[in-house]
Amino acid sequence: MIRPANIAIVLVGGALLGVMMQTAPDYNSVVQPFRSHLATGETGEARSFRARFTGARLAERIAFRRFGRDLVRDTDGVFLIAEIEAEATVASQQIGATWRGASGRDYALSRRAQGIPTGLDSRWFQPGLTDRAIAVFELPEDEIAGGEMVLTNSFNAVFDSALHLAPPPLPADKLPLVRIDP
Amino acid sequence: MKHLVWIILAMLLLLATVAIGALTDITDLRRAREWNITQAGQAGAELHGVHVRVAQVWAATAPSRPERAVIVVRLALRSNEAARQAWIGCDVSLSDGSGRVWRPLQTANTDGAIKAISPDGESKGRCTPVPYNAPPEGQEILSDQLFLVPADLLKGAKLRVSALGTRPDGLEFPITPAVRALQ
Repeated sequence: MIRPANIAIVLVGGALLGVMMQTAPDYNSVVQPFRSHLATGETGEARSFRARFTGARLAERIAFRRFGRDLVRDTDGVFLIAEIEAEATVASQQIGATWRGASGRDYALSRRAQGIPTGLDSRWFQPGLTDRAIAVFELPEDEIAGGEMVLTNSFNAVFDSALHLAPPPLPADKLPLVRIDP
Repeated sequence: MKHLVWIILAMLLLLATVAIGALTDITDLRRAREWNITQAGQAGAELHGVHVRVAQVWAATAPSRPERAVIVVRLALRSNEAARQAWIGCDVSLSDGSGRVWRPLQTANTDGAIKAISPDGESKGRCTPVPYNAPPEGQEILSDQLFLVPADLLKGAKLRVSALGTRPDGLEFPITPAVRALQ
């Protein structure tokens, strides 16, 4: 005969297991980088680089020269042209950027702006040298206010650091065209 | 007694699982950097059957950006093909002795910059132990690496050469570039 105490132990064990299963973080959230939140204008110190969000412009269209050809890109949303200053502290490296919108969605760098002069996607940062770079995001208009730029080691940010940089004051109006020059 | 045997067996299996899992990580860690550095002089040194020599080093500074400099390192590799194949790549870097590392630039403008800085106006391409246009056996394979560094590094930098197939072993050369001021 099964004693009530044994049944209670099994039930409590099952309940505890259920709670653990429901509350255990998934793999993706376990291996997130360690975040540092920086106020406007502050310089953030990550494990292998330091960076500052220095400027932002909004534009309906962007123009740039790539491989000897003049290109103009337009968008149904808005281009956010973010300017950063960064320096590697350990070894030469690239830095990756995403825009975390007001809704919490993450937006990657615009592939339509690849190859722009001083573009972050092609920039290598060197130890001891502070360099500037431009990150271009293509965003829905309502994702800009309240958003932040996230900078990570571009190769692998797992268990590394991530800088969440609050933007400088954003312009009220978007410019009809921004030309990105070297 | 019977339980104790099972517990010991479980612990041994657990240890074996950890060891097997760690083996790959330990191998990766050994190959990740040069743990065993051999100091080399001007005559060069042998690394896993390949003779490595720093053929030339040039540097340039510009008055508009006095805090930075570019360094071009011309490397010479010599060996039979089997030893070069076993290198699996070629990694070159500069260090300042305090742990900071500069890697060669590889951009669309790198080749042009090397040609502008090297006195012979040539770029020998990036370091590879098995180039498609390898010279006959016994002759040196030349390559050029361009580095963007703080000007302070011109006072004393160390060049490290290794490859996936040689690490944890690597070579280190002290370099003293001839500095040229660009207009």
